[in-house]
Amino acid sequence: MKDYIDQFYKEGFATTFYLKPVNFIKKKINNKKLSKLLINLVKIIYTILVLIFAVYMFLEKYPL
Amino acid sequence: MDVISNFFDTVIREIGSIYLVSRDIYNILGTILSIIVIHKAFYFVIGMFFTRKFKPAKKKHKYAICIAARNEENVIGNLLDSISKQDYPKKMLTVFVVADNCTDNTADIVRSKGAICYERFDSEHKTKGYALEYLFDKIEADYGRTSFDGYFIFDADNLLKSDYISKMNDAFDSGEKIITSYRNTKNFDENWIASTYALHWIRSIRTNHRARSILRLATNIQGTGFLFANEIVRDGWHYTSLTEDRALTADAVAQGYRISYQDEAEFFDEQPTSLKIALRQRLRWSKGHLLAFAESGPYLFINIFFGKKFLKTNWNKENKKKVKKGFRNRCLSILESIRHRFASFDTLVQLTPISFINLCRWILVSVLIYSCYTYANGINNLDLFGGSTWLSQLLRNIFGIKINMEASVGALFIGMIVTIWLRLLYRIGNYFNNIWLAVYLFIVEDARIKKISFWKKVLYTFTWPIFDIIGRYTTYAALFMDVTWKPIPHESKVTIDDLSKGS
Repeated sequence: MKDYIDQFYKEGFATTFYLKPVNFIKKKINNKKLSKLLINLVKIIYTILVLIFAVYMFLEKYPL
Repeated sequence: MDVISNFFDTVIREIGSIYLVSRDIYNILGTILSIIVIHKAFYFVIGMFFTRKFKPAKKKHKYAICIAARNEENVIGNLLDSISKQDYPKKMLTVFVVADNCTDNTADIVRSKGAICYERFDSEHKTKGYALEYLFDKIEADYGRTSFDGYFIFDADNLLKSDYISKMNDAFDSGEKIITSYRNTKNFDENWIASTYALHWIRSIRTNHRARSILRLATNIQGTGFLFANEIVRDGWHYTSLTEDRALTADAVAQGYRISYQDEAEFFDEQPTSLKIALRQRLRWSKGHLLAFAESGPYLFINIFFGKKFLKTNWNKENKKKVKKGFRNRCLSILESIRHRFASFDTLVQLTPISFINLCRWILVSVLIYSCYTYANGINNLDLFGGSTWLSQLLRNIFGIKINMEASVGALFIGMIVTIWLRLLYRIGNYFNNIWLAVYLFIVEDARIKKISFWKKVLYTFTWPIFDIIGRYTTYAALFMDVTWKPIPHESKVTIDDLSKGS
């Protein structure tokens, strides 16, 4: 299961929409607490948006 | 004259009178067809995020690499070089090439690179399948087929990444018997035709291979870049049809074999760049697809209901597993039975020419019966931009043109023309819907797709849906045409080092 969670946050969409913003935050923000907060925020937003997109694509691809 | 016109009037009205019933049947059939492919939507979502990973192998297995080549002097050397650069022990690999009806220097190049070459000349039996049949017979005579643990199949235009064999060995060592791999493209940016092929292979990976491999089902082998255990060719290679890969897949699934996918093993191949060659190849695929459906479809259908009771071939006669006693083992046996039946269903759906079924029901109900109906009842409030696609909804909202017409011969022809127009509008709408799939593929596969300019990506995004359009019409044509196997020319001088530098 851990492997699949890793894949979710490391490959495919994650490289563009999660890892890039996270790396940007890590580079640009020196305040550790703020950086951690923003990273968590990005993680939550990424997770929600990607799941919505997956449901949308599911319905779009094969509507009954 | 009146008698004739009365006769036609009666016949057309009679046909038109069954329209409402036939429309219901049309819709029910459409719903059934949608339901039988709904699992593909789950595959799509799984493939978006996940793939199966394999642990590093404990044992290095002994493999034979089999290549069928016809006049491939331009590319075979580069493939053999990429094999010699593998990070896998050389003594565990033997490369066999069958130089099939070659009139160039393919055989000499192969021998100069240290591979074993068998030359075959047979102008009657021309398919790649016959060449492989000959090669496996030669291997049996000279080495014994069971002297190798597994066999790789490649085309002469392929190039392998340096860890390809190691990664495939990881999957093989985990107990998988048939494994396919990541098919990338050498000439992605050569022109729009090559790019449509390249995106198609990536789509197959994302929408089929990844999910099926995770779910322990059977994905489809695609001509090249796959590995199988020696038991599969213990009695030789018997797949000599136009598309030997489809036939092998169907046989494997019928016998309960899984077909896995190793995402980390990557190879490259060359895609056609001329429309003539692409059409020829697609026609062969379509014909082979239909033949595989006709040959293996009935067995797969029976398997769905009766399990492995009726088999065309049996690769593993000796090792019949008996179900062990105990609750857990019985549950596992039931699960395996469900898995096998579902894999049979899945493969059968993949082989079924659904586009042809859709065409038949459309011509019969929407064109013929509906136009007879309009002859008798006229056209009432028919949307000129009807349909469920985004494009039709948009046009409907902007223009909202309705067609009304009294019952007459004119209504019959207008009804027919409007039906054909609505189908065309639906296809154009689908074309734009499909564009988004290319955008998705460019995003998720950014790391592996060859680096190309943004504007080329935009161009290829717009041209990519043509791949499916060609496939649809070659399927229709293949039903009525006699298709023969012809070689696909390969000319790319790209080496694996060029591709490594490029990425």
